[in-house]
Amino acid sequence: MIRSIIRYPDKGKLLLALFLIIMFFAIALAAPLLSEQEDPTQPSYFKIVGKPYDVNPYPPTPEVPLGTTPRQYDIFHTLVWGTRSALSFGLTITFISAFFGILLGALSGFTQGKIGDLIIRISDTFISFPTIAGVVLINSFYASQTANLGATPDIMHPIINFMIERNIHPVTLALIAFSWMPYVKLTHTSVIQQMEQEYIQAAKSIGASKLRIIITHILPNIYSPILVIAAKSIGGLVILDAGLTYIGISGATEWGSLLVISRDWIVGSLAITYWWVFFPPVITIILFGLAWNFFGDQLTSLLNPR
Amino acid sequence: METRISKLQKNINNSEIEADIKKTSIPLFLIKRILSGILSLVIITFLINSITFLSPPRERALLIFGSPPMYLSETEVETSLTQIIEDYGFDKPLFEQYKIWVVGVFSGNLGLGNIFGEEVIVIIKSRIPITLELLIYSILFYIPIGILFGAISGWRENKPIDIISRFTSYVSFSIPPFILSIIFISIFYVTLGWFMPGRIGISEGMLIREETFVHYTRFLSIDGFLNNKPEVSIDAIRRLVMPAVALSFSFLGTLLLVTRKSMIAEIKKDYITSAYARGLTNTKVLFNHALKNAILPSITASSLMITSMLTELYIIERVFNRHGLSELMFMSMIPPVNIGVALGFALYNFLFVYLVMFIFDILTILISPNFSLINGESK
Repeated sequence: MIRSIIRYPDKGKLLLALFLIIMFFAIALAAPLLSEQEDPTQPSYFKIVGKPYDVNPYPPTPEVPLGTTPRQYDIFHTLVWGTRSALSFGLTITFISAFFGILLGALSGFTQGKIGDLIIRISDTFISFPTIAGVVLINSFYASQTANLGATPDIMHPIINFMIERNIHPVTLALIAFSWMPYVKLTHTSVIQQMEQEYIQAAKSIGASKLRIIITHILPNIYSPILVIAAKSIGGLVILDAGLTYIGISGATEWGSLLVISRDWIVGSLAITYWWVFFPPVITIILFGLAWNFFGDQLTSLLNPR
Repeated sequence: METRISKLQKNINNSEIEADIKKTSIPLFLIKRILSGILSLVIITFLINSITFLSPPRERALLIFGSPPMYLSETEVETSLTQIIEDYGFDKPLFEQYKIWVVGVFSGNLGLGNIFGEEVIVIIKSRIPITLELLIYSILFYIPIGILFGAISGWRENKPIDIISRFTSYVSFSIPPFILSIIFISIFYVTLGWFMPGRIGISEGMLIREETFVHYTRFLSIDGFLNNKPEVSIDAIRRLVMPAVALSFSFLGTLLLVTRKSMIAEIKKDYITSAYARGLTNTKVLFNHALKNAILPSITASSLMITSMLTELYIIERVFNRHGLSELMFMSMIPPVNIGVALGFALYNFLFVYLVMFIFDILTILISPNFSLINGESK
């Protein structure tokens, strides 16, 4: 790994990708230093810096570095603290879906019988299902549960209650349910490929168990494409969530909410006169997506130097 | 957006289709495709419905019954609830309920519940033309342009036109369609006033409500001309420009890069050199030889993009205030919550994706130079 970094031809691009990713993590960690909370015991993603009944957005001043939205929300504060929610949103969904995806893929790769076929068939079915329809379905199940209509099976109640308790948005669940398929397909094909290799046959012949073969032999050989898909999906998920937030069926990350708050001042102004309510959130969202995508590209060429 | 591209890279695999066709004949291949589609449909409807089928029968009966009126006593409410449970078969085992649902579907009852006194299927039917019109125009916009510019930039690798197209396509992945739509509205509607959001203007809206206006295709951009009221069509088209361009722009970039890549691989092959040696012109080699072979991955990519395109389509529809199928999403979520609408919406989307993929499969077979349609053997 270290040797391949040293020999990597495009070190500049790799460093830029790493710099962007580390920058987002640093902003998330240093959020209390960059923008102070009004009440540190109850951290909030939004800070009001003026009269909350004032519906005019005001341009940047030294005290408010990126200006305010209507109702005087500090844009800089939400951008800085929203990095935390964006990162945790993307990372949580990616980790959970990758975990289940790899598990199911390994299962279907090993049991190449009916179970394996069924898993591949189900993941094919999920691929041809638009994510937004799944988001709508799970949102309406969640809403019926919170309205005490209870049109969900008993097995789902603990999950939904946990989400209500922890204040997790239902979109998170929906996106987990619709982003595990690439990992399944990838793990499935690579497990089948690796199983035919001689070293696996050798490991089998000395009596290694299936679990040991998966963990010590197969996973180390397939981690690179999985890392690439995971890195790219983090940015994509946050951008998708921003879009869903803008049309009003999500609200899991705060960057999209900034656009919702100042929607009338963005679409209603001549050639984006009120640029500070539009460009800072949009550039942050685009940069976040670009950074992870670029990072994924660099990982591809770093891990598969062919 | 980014996941879409990585998904595409994994999935573009024409040799699979070709191998399938080689093993059997084309009709058999299509039948196989249809059967696998039906199997997927069974899986998805079973998964979706089992969520509702497994929930407590009494609460589902309450969903249908609504909040009990004041004048009913508690026992009367209970008896009517048990009656509903019995009528709809809510307390039956999972597979039994699924059977009832399938039988209902074949007799025309989707079993999805009501909203505003209308059946879900009626709402979906009335909204399909609005959404489909936008989708068709964006597909007609981005596929030809994407393939053409992809082919040219692959042909002229590292020349200025290639660098410009590549730069454009990188920009197009980076800007999500909804942000592009916001910029479009601000510039072209508010500032310049060239194009408008919405589906139809007020005065044109009066025209289409007249009794003499016949809805031949239900696409306003065509119906206006057919009814000899061109102002309706012109207004509808002016309102379609911004959403169609915003929707297709990010998919254009992906398609362009896919076509460019296969074109670069194609023009290095020997038959291109031999075509030049025979003295054919540049354009003839490009369009009659290289593009014919390089186009297949682009068609597959377009068919795989349709699922993510639907997601963006509904977001765009909402941003531009076109009351198409996206309206159903809000009907299902805003109280009173209506799970029937959500189920109908999901099922419709799934069916639609399969239909489009099937059409693209047929297109692949028609375009592919390796297969003749008559006997299904490769040349």
